[in-house]
Amino acid sequence: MNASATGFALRRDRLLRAIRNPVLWQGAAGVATFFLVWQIAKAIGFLAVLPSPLDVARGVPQQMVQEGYWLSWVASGRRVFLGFFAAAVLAVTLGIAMGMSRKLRSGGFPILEILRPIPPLAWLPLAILFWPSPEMTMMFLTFLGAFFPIFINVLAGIDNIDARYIQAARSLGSSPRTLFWRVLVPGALPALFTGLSIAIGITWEVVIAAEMASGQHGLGYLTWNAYMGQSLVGIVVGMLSIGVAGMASSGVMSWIGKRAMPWRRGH
Amino acid sequence: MTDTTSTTTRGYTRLSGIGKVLSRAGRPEVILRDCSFDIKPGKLNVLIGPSGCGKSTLVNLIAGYAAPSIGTVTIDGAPVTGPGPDRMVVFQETALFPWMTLLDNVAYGPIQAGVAHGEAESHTRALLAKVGLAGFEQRYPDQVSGGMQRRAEVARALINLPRVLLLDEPFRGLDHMSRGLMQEYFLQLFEDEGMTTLFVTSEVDEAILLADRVIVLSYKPTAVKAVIDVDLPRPRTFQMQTLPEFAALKARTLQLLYEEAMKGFVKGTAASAELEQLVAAQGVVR
Ligand SMILES: Nc1ncnc2c1ncn2[C@@H]1O[C@H](COP(=O)(O)OP(=O)(O)OP(=O)(O)O)[C@@H](O)[C@H]1O
Ligand SMILES: [Mg+2]
Repeated sequence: MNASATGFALRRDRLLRAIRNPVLWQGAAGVATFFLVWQIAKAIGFLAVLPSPLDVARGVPQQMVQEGYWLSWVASGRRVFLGFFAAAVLAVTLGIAMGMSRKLRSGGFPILEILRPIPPLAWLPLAILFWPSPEMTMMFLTFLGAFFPIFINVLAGIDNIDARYIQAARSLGSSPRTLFWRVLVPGALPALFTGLSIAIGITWEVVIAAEMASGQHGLGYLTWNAYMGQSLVGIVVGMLSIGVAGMASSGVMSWIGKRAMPWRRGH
Repeated sequence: MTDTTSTTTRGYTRLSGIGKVLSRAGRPEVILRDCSFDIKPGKLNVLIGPSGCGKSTLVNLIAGYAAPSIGTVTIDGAPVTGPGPDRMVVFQETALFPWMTLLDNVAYGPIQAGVAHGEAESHTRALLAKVGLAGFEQRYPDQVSGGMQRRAEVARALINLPRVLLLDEPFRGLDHMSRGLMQEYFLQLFEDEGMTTLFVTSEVDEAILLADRVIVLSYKPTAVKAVIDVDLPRPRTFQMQTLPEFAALKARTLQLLYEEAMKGFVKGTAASAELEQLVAAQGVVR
């Protein structure tokens, strides 16, 4: 058997195992129950303003082919990703720098603590005035939403590395470089990923709100637009799309986390 | 271990007139006062003392993680100024890096010292096999039992051929059965290698079973109360615990420890009496 055939067999086995996994079916049953309860509630006269799940299901193809639907995914995804990515880079850099240097921390921490409680959307008016385009405004807001949770978690991650690991590393003759790369970085990684997954959730919240307030395209804009056009099905499809997008982003995050921290597989 | 002669003749460690003040919540406390003892090369030196008397503090001073407030620590004549690979510590709880496999953990020291990766790896595999961990090289610490973690950690220390091996209650927290097994493993390792060792414990049976010398500490401010030579023959076995000589040594050590533990206990009751007074006073106010 050649390598690709074995690879295929392995992948097929994994797929079969995933399909047999009861957790998958329990999850599917939960989702089905949710829609069923909704459908029944609608049928017996509750939830008058809402469309029924069947109406939504019937409307989905039409919504999906409508001009701008997929464009909305791309637009929102881009804003989330770029804002999040910029935030991650800066937050990790600052978090590590302040985690390592007392001076930097006592100089930089207070101002960040003052800025941190300001909700990203409170920056909206100023951001609109400051940034030349709505696109930049929205990315700036997602950046703000993602920055603080990542920053705080990286800092905490470095602070909370067990002193014994650092002592052991010093006894074992580590150079400052290896101490950093082989002890501090992996030691802070779990906290970093906690920060990243909180941040990705917040970026979706922020981007949707910002799009409703000032966007063109985007899932938030799509949902708001459906409201303006009095399309109930459109509103619900927009909301569910946001839910799926958020779930997919968290899924990607935890997938990367598992790859980056193989020692935590069992956790 | 290639160079056994050096591990058994190096590592003469002298602590002279050590004093250490630690402060907690701004309140300084004299933990060690005029504490002096030697770690004899090639011997299994055991340090025993009541809980909280400063055993870990002493290990930290020898390892170079902290400096004494007064007094000196020298190893083969050279004063200790900081941590280094000539002294290896096996900590009270595991300090294996959770993000490295057992192999990477143990090979870390040699690689830092500039040994080629291939050589470090084969050396590591041999040593892991010696402590009963063949086949577990690629496991992460969380994927093996507590006893296996302890053995990997001893291996991570030993591979660097330290002048002194410092073990701070390495088997604390293991269940009775694994503790016994670990003691056997460790005895065998020591009797093969003869490395200069300071083994900290608070268990008298463990102390006498393992030791060539038992250094008994007093209670805070802590100094050396007595040094007991254990002349039971090697190789040591578990059956020796039933010998009359063993019982006599145990009785003597227990007597010494009991006196010190009583001091701590008396202090404890004084403190609790004070606390009761305080509570009573507040009760009146209320
Ligand atoms: N950072 C610190 N500041 C103040 N006091 C401390 C500090 N660390 C330890 N102590 C005190 O110093 C004493 C000695 O602590 P140490 O950990 O060395 O004792 P030990 O003999 O190893 O105890 P154990 O049996 O718990 O391991 C204890 O009474 C402890 O309360
Ligand atoms: Mg201790």
